[in-house]
Formats: sequence, C-alpha cells, structure tokens
Amino acid sequence: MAREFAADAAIPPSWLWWLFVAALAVILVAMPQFTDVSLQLDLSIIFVLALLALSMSFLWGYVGILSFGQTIFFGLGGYSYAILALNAGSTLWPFAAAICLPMIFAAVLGYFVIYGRISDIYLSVITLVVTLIFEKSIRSTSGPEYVIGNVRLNGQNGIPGIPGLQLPWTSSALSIDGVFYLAGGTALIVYVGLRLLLLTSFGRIIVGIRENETRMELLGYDSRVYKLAAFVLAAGVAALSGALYAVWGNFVAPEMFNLNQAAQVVIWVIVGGRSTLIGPVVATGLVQYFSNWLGTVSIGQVTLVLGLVLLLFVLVFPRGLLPTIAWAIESAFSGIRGRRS
Amino acid sequence: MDLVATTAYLVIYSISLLVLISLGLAVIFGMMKVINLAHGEFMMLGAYVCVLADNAGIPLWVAMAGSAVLVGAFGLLVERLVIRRLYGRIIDTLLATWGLSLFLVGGVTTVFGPQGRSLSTSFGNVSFAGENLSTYNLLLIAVTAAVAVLTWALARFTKFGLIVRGAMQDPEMASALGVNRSLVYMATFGYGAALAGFAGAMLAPITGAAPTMGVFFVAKAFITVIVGGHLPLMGTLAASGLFGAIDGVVSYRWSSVLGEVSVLVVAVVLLRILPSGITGRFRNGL
Amino acid sequence: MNAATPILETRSLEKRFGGVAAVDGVNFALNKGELRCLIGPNGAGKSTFFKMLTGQIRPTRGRILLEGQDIVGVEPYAIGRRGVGIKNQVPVVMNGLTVRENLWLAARARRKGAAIAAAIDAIVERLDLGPILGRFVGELAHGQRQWVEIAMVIVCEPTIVLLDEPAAGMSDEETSRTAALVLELNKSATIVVVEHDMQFIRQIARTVTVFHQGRILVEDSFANVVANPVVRDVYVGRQGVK
Repeated sequence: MAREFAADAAIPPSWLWWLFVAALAVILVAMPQFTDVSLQLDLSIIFVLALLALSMSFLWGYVGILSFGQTIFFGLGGYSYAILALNAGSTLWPFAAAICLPMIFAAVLGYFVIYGRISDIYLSVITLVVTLIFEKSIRSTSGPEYVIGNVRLNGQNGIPGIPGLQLPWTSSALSIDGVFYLAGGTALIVYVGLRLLLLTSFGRIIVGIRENETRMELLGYDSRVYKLAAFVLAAGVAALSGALYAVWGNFVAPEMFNLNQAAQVVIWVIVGGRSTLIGPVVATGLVQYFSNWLGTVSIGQVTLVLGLVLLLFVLVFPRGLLPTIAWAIESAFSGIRGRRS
Repeated sequence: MDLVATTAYLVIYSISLLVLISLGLAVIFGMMKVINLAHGEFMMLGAYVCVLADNAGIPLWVAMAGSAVLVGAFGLLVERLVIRRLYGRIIDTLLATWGLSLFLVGGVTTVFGPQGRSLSTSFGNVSFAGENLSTYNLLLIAVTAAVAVLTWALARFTKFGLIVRGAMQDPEMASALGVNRSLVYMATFGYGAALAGFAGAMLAPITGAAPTMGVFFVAKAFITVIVGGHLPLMGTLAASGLFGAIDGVVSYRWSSVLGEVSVLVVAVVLLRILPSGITGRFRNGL
Repeated sequence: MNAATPILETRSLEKRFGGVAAVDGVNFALNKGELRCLIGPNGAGKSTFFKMLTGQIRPTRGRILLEGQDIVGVEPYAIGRRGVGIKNQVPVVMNGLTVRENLWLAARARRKGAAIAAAIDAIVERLDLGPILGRFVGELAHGQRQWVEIAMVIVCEPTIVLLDEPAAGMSDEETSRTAALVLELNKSATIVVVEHDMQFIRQIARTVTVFHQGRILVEDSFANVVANPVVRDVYVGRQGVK
C-alpha cells in the first residue's frame, strides 16, 4: 500500500538513473544521422506529446490533482503562439508568451478551484468542462469578424501557416532536425527538471500535501498556495507542449482542446502509471503508434479502442502497464527465490 | 407576445431542457455518488433507438418508450459489469465511465457512420398570443414535468421508492435492515439510464441523432447535478431553475456560447460558496 | 494577554450535525501551563471539540479564544502556526512516506537550513525513533505511528498540545513512557489529553473535565471526579438524557 507512489520525496536518483538520462541524451543527438525524415517527424510529435503527458503525470502523480483539462493550456499555448507569431512577424518572444499567457489563465482558474476548496471529483469535471467550452467557443469562430490583430481564428478549420521557431542567431526557421532537437531536448530537460524538483523543499512539501493535506495544514503549511503553484507549473509545461506543437506542425486547431485529446492525456498516465514520470512518457509513445496505426482505419475505431483501453486499464491494471509489469516481474522473481529455499 | 412573456417562455423551456437531461444523472449521483461520464452516450443511444424506430415506421411514442426500456436495460448491464467492480472508487468509476463513453461514441460511429440522422416525423406550430410556438417545445415542457412528477411519485409512494430513499439516507442502516444494496444500486442505475435514454429520445426530434451529441449535453447535465447537490429531485429542480434562467436569458440576448460560459462562471462561484451544492446541507427530502 | 487570561477558552461552543448536537454549549477555560484531562464516554463530543480547536471543523455557534483572540473561521494552517498541535485519535500522518520524511516536513514548517536537521536529530534521540527512521509510516504498528505523530507535533514547538487518546493500543510499558513524555512536555506547553485509560490518567492527572452528551458535566481534581457518583453513572449508563 505504502509503495504505491514510488515518487517518494528526497531520495536522490541513483547513478543508474543518471546513466539512463545520459544515454537518452546521446541517442537524441545521434539519431538524425541514422533515421529518415519521416521517423524524425513522428518522434518529434511524440516528444511534444510526452511533454503534455509529463505535465499530467506531475500534476496527478506528485501533486495528487486529477485535472482533465491539461488540454486547456495545451490549446492556449498553441493558439497563443499562432496568433502572436503571425501578428508580430518574429517568433522568439511569442514562444515565451505562449508559455506565460496560459499560466496566467491557470492562476485564475486554479485560484477559483483550489482556494474554493472544490473537492477532487468536482475539480476533475470542472476542468473537463472548461476545455470543452474552449473547444466549442473556438469552433464557433469561423466568421471573418473573429480576428485578433490580423489573424483570423478560423473556427474549426484552425490557423494554418504558422511560422516555425527562428533562433536569433540564425537566418531561417528551425529545420526538421532542429525541431527534433528542440522537442527532444525540451522533453528531456523538463523530465529531469521535474524529477529533481522532488529533491527541493517545494517538491517535498507538495508530495507531503498529496499524501496527507490535513496533516500538512495542521503543521502550518498553507496547502492552497503550494497546490496553486504546482497547478500553474503544470499548466506551463502543457502550454510549452502546445507551443511546440504549433512549431512542429505549423498549424493549430480546436481539436487541441477536445474530448479525444483530453482523454488521450489521461490514458497515457493511466497506462504508464502514476508512480513514475517516465512511465507515461513511454505510454505516450506506445499509444501514439497504436493510434496512428488505427487511424489509418477510421476515426470511429480510434475512439472505440481508446475507450476500451481506458476501461481495461481501470478494471484490470489500475496501477498502469509499467508498474504492473514491474510488479509481475518482481513477484515472479520472489516466487522463484521462495521455492528454492 | 411581449418581451417578458417571450423571455419567460424561453426560460421555462431552458429549465425543462436542463431537468430532462439532468434527472437521470442526478438519480445515479444522488444514490450512488457515482459520476457517470457515459450519461451523454446513454442519451445518444436513446436518440438512435428513437430515430431508427421512427424511420422504420414505428409510432413515435412507442419508439420513445422503447428507448427508455432498452437504454435502461443497457444500464443494468453496465452496472453489473463495470460499476459494481468499482464501488467506493470514485475516481476509477469516473475514468471507467469515461472509457465507456468513448467506446460508445466510437462504436456508434463505426456502425452508423459519423453523420447525424433525423426523424421522419415532424411537428407543427401552434399559435399562441400572436406568435408561433413550436408544438414540440410545448410538448417537451409538459412531458418533462410529467417525468419529474413520476419520479417523485415513484420515490414517495411505492415500496421500492421507500427502500431507495432509505438506502440513500443511510446505507449502513438499510443494509442492516436486510435491503439488498447491490439490487438497489443496479435498479437505480438502470432507472437513471432509462431516464437518460428517454431524454435522448425526446431530444431526437430537435437535434436528430449523431454519435457525438452526448458530449454537448454531458457538460450541462454535470454542472446542474453538481451544483444541485445530493438530493436528485430538489437539487436538479433548483439548479435547473437557476441555470435555465441564466442560460435562457443570456442565450436569447447574446449567444448560446456566452450562455454556457455564464452558467459555468456562476457554477464555479456558487460551488465556492456552497461546496456541496444547493441541497448539500439538506438532510431530508428527495 | 495578562497572566489571568486563559490561554485557551471557549464560550457557548456548539456544533450541530443535522439535528444532533455533538458539542452543545461548552464553556471551557484552560490556563497557561496546565495539564488537563478530558474524559467522557464515547460520543460525548470530545474529538469534535478538539477538531474545532484546530480549525478542522467549523463551530455552529460560539467563540474560541486563543490567547484572547477569536479563532473561529481561521484556517487550520494559521492556527497550527500559532502554536496549536494535535495528535489525533487515528494518526493523521503521511503514511506513504518514511518516518524521516514525515519528521523533515514537520521540522521544515517552521525552520530553514541546518536547523531542520538539528531539530530532527533532537526529536529522534528524545523519542528513540532511530530504528524506524527509514520505514514507511503506513507499515508501522499503531503505537509506533502514534509516536511519529507525537514527534511531529513536538518538533513544531507548540504552545498548546492536544492529545487524543495517546495511550490507545499501547502496552503498559509504552503507556508509562507516554505518561512520562506528557509530563515532560508539560514543562514547555499547555496540554489537554483525551483518554479512556484511567491508569494513564492517574499517572498524569491534575484537573479533569468530564464531557457528557456534548456538555461539560463536571470539572474537578482527579480524585474527586473518580469518586463522583454522577460521573460513575454516566459511564455505566444510568444517567439519562438531560
């Protein structure tokens, strides 16, 4: 029971983990030499979505808040970058703003929900409703009167032709290689950063609040401040993911806010398990490949299978795929040892 | 009709619509504390049954009754296979019903295609105080009122209703008195599903039947049920009254999107003041 | 606040759940440095009373004065920071974390840097928690979990300590240790203890307050309370509803 959350505070990651991270970094740098463009594109989007998964697994696994609305900030990040970059002509500060603006909205939404002491399930449903309202609102902006600056929102057709990110010392936007490194590098840095956050006071306090909010309050911690800060941080990561999505595909659409996207985020974390950060990242890759493969068949079937996966995991593998596999392996080994003695 | 009367009519219609789509969810939530995210899809299934039956020539009222029965039966199945395994695990139930909802949307899309279908029967208008009012809208208001009264009567006057009320107020005591809790839960979930299916069928003449129609209604139903609090009838009526009025007025004056946003804002603010909903503090009543 | 003002006081404190009054008009006064025992049959309202003092439950009516200031409606974390510590009937601790981490969180609440480690070392030594430092609290026995909770409370250097059944589930030896600890704590903090275990109370008691059906029945020295026939009837059950 007590081991359900391996995301235990204050245990510095072992040298094995650092080796693992270094290996990932090396693979990331070397990969474009050995892979073709289409694989790079596919992997880039997986890195982008992995960031979204990380924001969810941080918020749910570390902080204990089940938000169905990380897509709110994902979509806001994408749309903010699109609107600002197309209006301004430059891309660097719009990218930064695309992370900050959704965080401001997160602070407001989070304030209402966290300081309002709205209980868990209600919070989950409210965040789901908010993302659906964003989807619906943007979907209804097809007319030419829906313009911000000189960028039309375009309703359900989305905003095309978004400029790629251009670093100040270069003369053109990032190439496919560049986007690959940016997405992969960012995902790796955020993953390491979040893991190391556990070692800081803030990280340990957040985990304490997740474990027993009442006791933390009795000790004198204002849990609301910490939860709000974590909520805004998670929103920032999701917004970063959204901005990168816009950079990757040069396109944003209301689908970024929709139910399917929101469901996928939840599924990644359920399949990957809440007890690690890396689990959901792996799950994102698996689910994405699986969905792409299914997507060649028809939309209906992707949704159907997603639903079945969610049902299956909740009923049969509540701890997630990776933790269950790990537990099964552990049990098998201890069983063998037991029999020998 | 003057402005006040028009607005009043729109508000009553909005309220009725909310009551219709929320009652099934409220019954399940009030009894089992389960948030059934597949509620919208139960409605969608009801709409499909109704449309398909009607297109096949079956009289509309039979089709609607059939929707209630079939979706109700489906609800019993869902309760047995899924919900029952997750008693007490609120978040897991939420996720499982979400999975079910996606499964149903995907399934219906695969079988019937993503396009919506409409009813072959159509309704006319009546003239009232100098304006044409859709007959069907009036019918909906009347039928919703009837369904609410029926639910109240079932709870108030039947033996089963008494058992359900007892189990709702004090599950431990009810168990101790020999009430078969699983049976009560199963029947309640089935009834809630039947109400949802019926609501979908009632909406079919207005919205037709499309695989993703449930998503639109789910959000509204949720907010209504959560703000209503744990008493299914009183809570739903109170919250529907409030939100129906707000939505009706704002949608009429500005736009329907703004209407929904206003409702959400009011809901979040209200939940801050009354975290357990409007009827959260009430002990007795339905 | 002068020497005569009670450090903790409640006036007409009431808590109703639906139609039932768990606490029904309690006027309670605690002086600085006191060691008070609260006894009474189950359901008499003692735990509810405690939870109102920490801000976890909001009273229906009445006032709670902490060092002269009304704290009704104040958030629990603010009351905690003002020096009120509680050890609950069922330990409210971070079961999924280690003992060491629980203590760190308690120490960090009011300290920074090197002072945290120093505080942890001090409490580990004082309560002999060394052997269980690395264990997950959820895996410990009830008695050990209580000690962890008490340790966390002490680390926060409270001015008022509320102990809800500190001797529950403890062996005789552990009970004596706990009694000794309570007496020692009393040198630096005002203490209120809720208990059923009369042996334990005998070891520490000064003034005893008897709760019954949400009200204070009797408040007197231990010897007098034990000899009081009304109190005995309440425990045995012959005293009827008021």
